[in-house]
Amino acid sequence: MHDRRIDGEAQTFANYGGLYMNAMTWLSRESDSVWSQPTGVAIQGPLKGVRLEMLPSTVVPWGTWKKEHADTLVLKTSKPLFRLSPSEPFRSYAGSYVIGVALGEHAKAYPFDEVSERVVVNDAVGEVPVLVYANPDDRSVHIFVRRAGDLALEFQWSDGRLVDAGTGSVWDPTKGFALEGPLRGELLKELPSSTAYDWAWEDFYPHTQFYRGGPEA
Amino acid sequence: MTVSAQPSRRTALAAVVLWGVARSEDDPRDRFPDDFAASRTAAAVAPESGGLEASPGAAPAPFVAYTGIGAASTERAEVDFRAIRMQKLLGIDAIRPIYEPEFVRASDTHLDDRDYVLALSVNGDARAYPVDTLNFREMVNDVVGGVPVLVTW
Repeated sequence: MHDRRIDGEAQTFANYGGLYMNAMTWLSRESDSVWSQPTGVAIQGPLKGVRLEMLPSTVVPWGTWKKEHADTLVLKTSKPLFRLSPSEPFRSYAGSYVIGVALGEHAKAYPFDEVSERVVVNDAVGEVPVLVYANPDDRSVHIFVRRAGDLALEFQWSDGRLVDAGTGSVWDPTKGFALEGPLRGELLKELPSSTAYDWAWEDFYPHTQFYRGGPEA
Repeated sequence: MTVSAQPSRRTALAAVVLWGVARSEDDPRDRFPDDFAASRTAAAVAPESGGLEASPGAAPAPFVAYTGIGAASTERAEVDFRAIRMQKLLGIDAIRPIYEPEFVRASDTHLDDRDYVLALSVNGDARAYPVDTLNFREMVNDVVGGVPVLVTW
């Protein structure tokens, strides 16, 4: 999920039809350049080396998204002639699925099974303190910078609610804002992340670290 | 007898691809002949690689990723692209992106609650793109919350 603007001008993207390091590539019509999907960086043509800005997005069951965003629009699709049983992406063959975050020169991958076991993980990507929320029941996944103003926050999952230990404020785990308590109204910055197989993530971010659980601080 | 979902999906995808190949507009190998010429040489030297790897050992430098400063500029990332590892499989838009997406309200969709979507919200404008559709269209050029967005799968 990327912002299509470069220097304020929107680009139209076609499917280039090639695989670069086993991942898809795009062609920007206005600038005749080829782009690599996982990083959003141009690899051929006049814009070679330019990077598109990534936007926060998530891969979730429709029921979960609808619950989080009642006013959402959904891409119009024709009624299927017959219904295939719903399948979870990234479960179809060997490989564990991770939520990948790349921040500056740092990259970190959170295996879904590992983080959803804890629901809430307080971690850091480089110098940036992050909150990873992964709900095993509705499969919701969101990653935020766990900072309100100058205050670094430590989060806990307690009785189905997201609470920061320092102030006891209660937060909406899907939108990142404080619902109750001293920090009510504060909003956490959500980070763009990628849902990917672990090996695919590592192909593009060979320096990535993998979150491996361990005791919470 | 039960019929697994996967073969029917593959058949559908193959049909879409064949349809796309028949109407795709050009061969991009003509577009960047230098990159592909080098790749062809490498493939000829090491045919068992099956691909077009120029420098198999060379890993790309770390990508400078999200900086949170807004839309992109033409400032270049410091990335070593000498190791182009491109395999050209299909013509441009052989798998045709959605260029003019149409949307419905949550109450008007055929989706099952268990169907997966790729979703985002920009400036309070929330959109969901069914994974089943993205599986055979792969890309959507959209505008969400006033921001031109590329949705890809």
